[in-house]
Amino acid sequence: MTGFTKRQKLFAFLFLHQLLFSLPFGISQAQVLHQDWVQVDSLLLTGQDIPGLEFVIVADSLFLPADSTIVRFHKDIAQPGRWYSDTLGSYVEAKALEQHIPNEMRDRASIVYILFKKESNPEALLEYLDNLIRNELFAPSVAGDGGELMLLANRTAFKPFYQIRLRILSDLKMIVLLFSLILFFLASVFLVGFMFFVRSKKRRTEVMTQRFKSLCYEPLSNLLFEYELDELKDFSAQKIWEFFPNAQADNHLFKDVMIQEIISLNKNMKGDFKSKLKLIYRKLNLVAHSFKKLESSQWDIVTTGLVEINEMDVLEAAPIVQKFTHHENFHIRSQAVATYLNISNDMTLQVLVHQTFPLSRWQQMTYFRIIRFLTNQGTKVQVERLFDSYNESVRIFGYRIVRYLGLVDRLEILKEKYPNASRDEKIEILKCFDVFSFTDAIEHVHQDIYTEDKDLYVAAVKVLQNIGTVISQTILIERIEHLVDFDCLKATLEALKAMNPVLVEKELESSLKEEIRQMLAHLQDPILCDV
Amino acid sequence: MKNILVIEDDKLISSLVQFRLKKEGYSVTMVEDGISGMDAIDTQEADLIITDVMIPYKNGIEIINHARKVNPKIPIIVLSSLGEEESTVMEAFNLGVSDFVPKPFNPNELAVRVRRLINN
Repeated sequence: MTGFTKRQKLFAFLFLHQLLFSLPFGISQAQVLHQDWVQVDSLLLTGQDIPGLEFVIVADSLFLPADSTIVRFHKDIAQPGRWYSDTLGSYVEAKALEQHIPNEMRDRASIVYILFKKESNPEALLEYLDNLIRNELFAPSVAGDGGELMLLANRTAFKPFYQIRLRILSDLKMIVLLFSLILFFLASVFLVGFMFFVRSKKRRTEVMTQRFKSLCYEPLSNLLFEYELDELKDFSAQKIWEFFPNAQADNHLFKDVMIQEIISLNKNMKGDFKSKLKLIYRKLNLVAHSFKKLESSQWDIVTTGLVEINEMDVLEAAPIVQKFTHHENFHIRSQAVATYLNISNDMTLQVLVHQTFPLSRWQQMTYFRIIRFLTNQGTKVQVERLFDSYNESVRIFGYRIVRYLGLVDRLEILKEKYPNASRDEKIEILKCFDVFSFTDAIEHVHQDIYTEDKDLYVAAVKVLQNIGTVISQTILIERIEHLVDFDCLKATLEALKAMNPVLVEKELESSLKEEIRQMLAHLQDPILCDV
Repeated sequence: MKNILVIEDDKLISSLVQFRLKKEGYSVTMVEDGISGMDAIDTQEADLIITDVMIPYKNGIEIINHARKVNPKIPIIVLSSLGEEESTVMEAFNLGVSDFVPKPFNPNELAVRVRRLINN
């Protein structure tokens, strides 16, 4: 409120006061007026203009006094001996005029109230004033209660101390709103502009990529079909660049496109064409371009660099790639491990053994394809190293590789690992025993027939179905009466039926459990048994 | 000059095939999708068709069927990856394609196969 004058502060206060107390004030005044005519008289004497109210003095006299003040009296033609004054707007004026009437006439003179040009009695005046006050059309001033100040405040138009050219800016809330709207508008304009910029840049890149692709087709075809591998080896980088548009030699996008095209061809071609493509990649020093991508802060660019190194078999990149094998970004880490497995020549699979993050199924599939490729090349990959990893998912991955690649020579190791393995590992090892019908591990399988774990039990029963003995049958027959779970019962009955159908009929057709008899009947039905 | 129709959506591969076959003295027409391929079969008198199995708009099998209707004796070579569309490739064989070249392939080997089929 600094900067406001006392008068402005007072007006502000009075305005608020009027707002808060106007209605009760009006009602109380109206009640007073009804009860006290003297107060009405004093109200009229304040000299306030009351809309529609005028006064006339009427005097009954046969003579017209020769006084100057009486000049304003007129003789009533209709009633001889009656005089009436001019219409007076103020009660004070009427009272003053009444005082000037000579004493002999004064007793016969009275003030008549004219409401809207019609003579009215005091009761009508009271009611009229009451209505005015009640409807806040008139505020009587009462000395001492601030009523006059309130009237002043009401009558004085507000003028701000600081004249701001735009009235809208005088409101703080409006300023905040305007500021927000302008900020929103500017942000929208900026974002739309940025979006167009990004889209146009992307579009331009796409157009340039297509153009560069078309520029690559013929030079690459020429190099691949017109020259032998030995001839290409003798070519200098300058000589090879001469096949391509010279102006693009330093263009990063052109190099990117070239690498992608070379990789695409490398995937789709075989024979010495692969060697030619890799030679071209190295001769043009595109390997440096791939290395530079590894320094990027964007994960997709780093991953692209790793893919290029992997596809082009850049063996010397192994130490650099190894740094990314524990990267927190899934894509970088996955690609780095795959690349390292491919180019490092490390058959102990240490990069996998020391993986701290759990391996996803997608990662396992990628690594498996590389390990299978290396195995098919005749390399002895030490898969058993994976069994000693601290990472359970790596150990399970190792057991899966044994199964998928048919590494039966590792089954003995699995048998040793089995007793101390976790539940998930046991299930995976049991699958290996099942696939390879590894009867040496039957004792371990028998132990897990007594497990409370449903999945492990079902896995063990399935193995017994394949490699089970008479002892296994006895154990299962004994166990079946205690089983409650449907899947466990079903697996057990199926296994027993596969191992010894005669025994099943003999032992179980008279089972006390209705569920077992029903399931058995279902399994023995030639039509329903496969449903 | 013998005319060979190549239906392949990978421009780089079709360009290489075109380059290699032109060296052999053939005229090569390239199309990138199935609809253009069918149009080319109708309008051009190709002596041999090389087609991929996975191409835009039309399946390679539809192309082979259409080609067989237009010219039952035209040699057709399927150029595709076995791993990707094994069932489709088997179906292509059942439709009586002349040869199958799996990707990755050797363009020189493809040229030899083309020459053998054209000469026969």
